[in-house]
Amino acid sequence: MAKLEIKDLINVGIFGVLYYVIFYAIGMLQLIPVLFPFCPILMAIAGGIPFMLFITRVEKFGMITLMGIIISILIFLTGMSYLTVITGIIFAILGDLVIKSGNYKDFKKIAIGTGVFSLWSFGGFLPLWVMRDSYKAMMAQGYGVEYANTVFALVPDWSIIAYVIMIVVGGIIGAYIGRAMLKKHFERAGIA
Amino acid sequence: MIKLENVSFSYLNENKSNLKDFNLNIEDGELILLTGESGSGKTTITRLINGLIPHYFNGTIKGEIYFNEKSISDMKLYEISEKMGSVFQNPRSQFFNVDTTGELAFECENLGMPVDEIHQRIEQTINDFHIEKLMNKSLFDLSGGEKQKIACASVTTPNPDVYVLDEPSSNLDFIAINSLRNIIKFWKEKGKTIIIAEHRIYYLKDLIDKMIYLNKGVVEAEFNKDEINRLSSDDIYKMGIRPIDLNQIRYQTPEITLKNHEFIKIEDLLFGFKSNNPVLSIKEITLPSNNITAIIGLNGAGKTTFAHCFCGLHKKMKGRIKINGKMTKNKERLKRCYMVMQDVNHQLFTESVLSELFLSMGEDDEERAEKILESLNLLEFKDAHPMSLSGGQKQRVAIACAIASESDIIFYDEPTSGLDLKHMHHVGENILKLQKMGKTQFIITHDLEFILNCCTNVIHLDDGNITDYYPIKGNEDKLFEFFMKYQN
Amino acid sequence: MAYILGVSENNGIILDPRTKLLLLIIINVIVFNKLDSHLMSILLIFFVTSLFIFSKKYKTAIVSLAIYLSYTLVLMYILPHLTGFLAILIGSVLVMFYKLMPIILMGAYFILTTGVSEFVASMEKIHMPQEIIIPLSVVFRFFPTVVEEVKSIIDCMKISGIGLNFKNLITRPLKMLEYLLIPLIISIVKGGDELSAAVLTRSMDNPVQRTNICKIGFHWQDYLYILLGLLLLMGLFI
Repeated sequence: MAKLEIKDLINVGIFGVLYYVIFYAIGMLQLIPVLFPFCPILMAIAGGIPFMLFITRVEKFGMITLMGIIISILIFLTGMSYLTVITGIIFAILGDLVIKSGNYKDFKKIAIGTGVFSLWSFGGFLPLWVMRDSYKAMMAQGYGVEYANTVFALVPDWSIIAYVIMIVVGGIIGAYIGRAMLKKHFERAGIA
Repeated sequence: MIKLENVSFSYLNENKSNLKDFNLNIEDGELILLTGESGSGKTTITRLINGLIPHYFNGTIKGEIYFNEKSISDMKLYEISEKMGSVFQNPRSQFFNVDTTGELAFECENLGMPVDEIHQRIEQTINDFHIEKLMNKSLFDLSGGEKQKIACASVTTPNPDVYVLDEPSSNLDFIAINSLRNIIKFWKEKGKTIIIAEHRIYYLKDLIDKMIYLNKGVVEAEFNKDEINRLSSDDIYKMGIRPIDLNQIRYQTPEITLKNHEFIKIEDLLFGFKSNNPVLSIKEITLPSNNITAIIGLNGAGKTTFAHCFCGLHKKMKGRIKINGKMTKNKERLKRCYMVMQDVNHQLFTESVLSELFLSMGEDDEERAEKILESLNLLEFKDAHPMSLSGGQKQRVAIACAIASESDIIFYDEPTSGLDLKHMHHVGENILKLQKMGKTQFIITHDLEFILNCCTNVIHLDDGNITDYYPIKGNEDKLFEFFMKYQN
Repeated sequence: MAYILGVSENNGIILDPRTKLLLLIIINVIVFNKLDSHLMSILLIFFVTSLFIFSKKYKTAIVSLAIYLSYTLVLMYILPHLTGFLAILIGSVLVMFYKLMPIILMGAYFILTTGVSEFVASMEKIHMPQEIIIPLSVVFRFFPTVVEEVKSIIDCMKISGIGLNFKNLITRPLKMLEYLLIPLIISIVKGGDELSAAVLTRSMDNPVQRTNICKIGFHWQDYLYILLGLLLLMGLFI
């Protein structure tokens, strides 16, 4: 593995901050309840814009992995489950490997890799399933068993798969939008 | 000792060469000034000396550069950096830490110095630079001038032999420039070697040992100390650089117009983030329309706040602003005013110059857009991405947007900071052109040469109050006095 | 203004950044594993607000408690009476945030009382690799810059007649996003490139072992809070 240089690490930081800010801003939409279920996909899509610009500066294995670690640490610091750090590391490495297999140039691989990478945030949503029983018990305490059952009917067990697919698809859509932005703006502005 | 032998360089993906057959010997303890218009290759030379070329910026390099008899291209960047301190143009993007003390320690920490020694060195630098007040603060709370001072101090703590400065005064006001001068003088008295690329040179007068005038990557002339002192204002003017002595400024002040006798009247304007301590407080002032008014004052005097209030950006502003006798609301002024920002990058939003104008017009009138672009020499760039243009061109795009949006009042925030003489005059020409179109213009600036050449009136702001307002013609002495006061 | 980590202005009793990080992890683990316990939730809230009180941030402590209390009241007395799909959605979101409050407050405590240099010093002490410390420092270094630039771009948008107002956000949300994001990304990335060049001339790639002038260390309060934290953690198994 080629050693990452200072320049590379600073790039990880720069794009980390951009990714995090955009991700967080979109995450604020959760406060509008109707949008709550769609936030993961929206977040994955928006992240694609800085992420595609980031990829143009990646030549070595490790930068994408680090990016995943950095943003999951940030998200952990600001209120998401510790599970995010674990999924962050796993899916960032997987995404990195997929994109590396295309030498960081092949767009098909980049798009799929971006989809895989997007799953870094999955740990943040996991408590809905993993800690299902305790979550349900909590709801039942507050509003009765009936209420809790209604809510959990909205989030059946199999929906975890739907969420995974949604996030990956969001990441892939994000990659396409990111590429469009790259062509429309960043390449012509001379920073890609 | 630094030696450059037959050095030529061109950046990657650029087919023109930035520097051709450049030769220079720098003795220890010398202060070398590299000057010339933008694009003359002065920045390239500083990068060749501090090793950023070829270790950070890529390109084709010919010839050899030696630092104490060792070839710079064979050295690692950190080996060069140990002996050299570099200060750059932009005060906002050269610090790595968030706090001032950390920034002063930063390079020493990287060099692995013992903690006690670092503390001693910081103590020493604080004393030498008189920056006790700036310590343990967030760098984000400092002004541009203070940031640049910290940048200079942070490269001083490791005590290098050589200082390399790339247009360090570009974004500074005249007081900050003066303290920059004192810092450079301090280094020189310590026997340090100093290399500076600049086109604003008055503050370095009598410190320079050798001045090298570059034009399009080629040395046109070299001057030693005596020759510099003998340079006439004519010579300087021909070189296209800023005056070496503020008293030698050449100028032709534009005429005041009193077309239609229209006026802007400001009454009881009050604005502050804390109500007991207003940032801005203006009792009453009447300004004639269709003129070019310079807004001058120290940092923190409220110049930018004034512009923002006038443009309608501060909703909490109290007071009345009447244009031609009519009261105006914030929203209305937001429509009528345009502001050309100091960081013009923040106001270009679209993918081409033409669509930028369409956005301002609110419609796609290509004929009119092209006419505006032509008048500002921008027509050939109409399909280019605004962010790919040079600083001066971007500024012209912003001015074009102001015209396109039919704003009749235009504010500029330091439009000539970091510009050489030629580009300063280009900006001036456009502003005069806009005056002929009937626009009222306000310019926040620290550039005396520019004020004398392009403005008709002056407003002095001090601590949020307008302390003086006068036409420039006939009051030049007053203006000179204001700028000279802060020079020693 | 509170950025994400800036220069700490501390008075009162302060914990070592390593302690804060450990507590952050403990609280996070407890909350996500013991969602149904009211008692635990209340204990955690008192635990965190006591930290604010010790560091003399009384206002933050009072405000946090007040928010927690009003949240509790809303959840107990108002929500159960609402019916229908929307109420359920609103309810679940509210419950989520209610449960997350200890984590968010602990995060806020961490952010408000830790300077970037202390954070870096503690990371170096626990031998976190530079590959993680450097990007994280860059992130903290650039947060305030992003805030400054976003403000400036929003002003510029207003002047250009494309203000981020309700009407524009509803009629052309994607365009507005583009107008805001493109200048932001370009200017942050350019700033990052300039910073890279600057830090390389400040010996950042020097291979010698870095030193750090920032003093951090454990005191009695660290041991006390770590002990308390561990006790709470034991509550998971009861």
